[in-house]
Amino acid sequence: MKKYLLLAAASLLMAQVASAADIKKGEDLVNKGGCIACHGAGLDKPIAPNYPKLAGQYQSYLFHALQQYQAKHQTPLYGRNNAIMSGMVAQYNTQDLQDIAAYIASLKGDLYIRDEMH
Amino acid sequence: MKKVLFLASLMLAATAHAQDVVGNAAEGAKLVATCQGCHNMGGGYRSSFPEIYAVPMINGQSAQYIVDSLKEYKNGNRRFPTMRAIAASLTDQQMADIAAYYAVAKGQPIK
Repeated sequence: MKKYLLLAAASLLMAQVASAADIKKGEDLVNKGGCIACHGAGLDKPIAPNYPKLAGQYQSYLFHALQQYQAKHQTPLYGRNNAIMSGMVAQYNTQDLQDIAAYIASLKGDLYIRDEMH
Repeated sequence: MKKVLFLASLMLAATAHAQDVVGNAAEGAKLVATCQGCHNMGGGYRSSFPEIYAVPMINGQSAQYIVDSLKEYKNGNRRFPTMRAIAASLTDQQMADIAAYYAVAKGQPIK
């Protein structure tokens, strides 16, 4: 019994390692992908007001958004149809998107939570 | 030919008018009660559809990007039922006001 538990724990640990995001790899992908061309220095200074600031955004949201651009319109309830971003994300696999999201989330930026309510 | 030109200039005028909408952060502050419960939660309110992820932080975001996002939810280019329903209920002026509110930088007053 103990042995099985140990095996189960070990396999859980391995699964986590396998899916863990690699910030350094994400940084390389972001640099190679040319994201700053639109999202600006530090991904926090967009070159035009219609592009979003990304630095410090939640990792799980960034991953979700990247996946949605990749999906385009696969179902009536899921996907984002955007000519620029669909083209940008087409080349990446799921692990790449996780790494990219982890790197961008690790950056400091202008996005914040407002303390006072109205 | 003249008629076509006239129509084209009308369309241009309409486009120009649409871009004339100027957002007001103080007006936006009156509209964001619905937004705050998901978008202004420290640590991130989590959506569970179609997977679990933190709803994005949007304070400090580019104003025009927020307007464009709302319009894309409204017209279906972005597909997410909750945001589609909310965006569909907003006028262009309301979208601009909400965007102006969220674009206010950290530590700056709403006015």
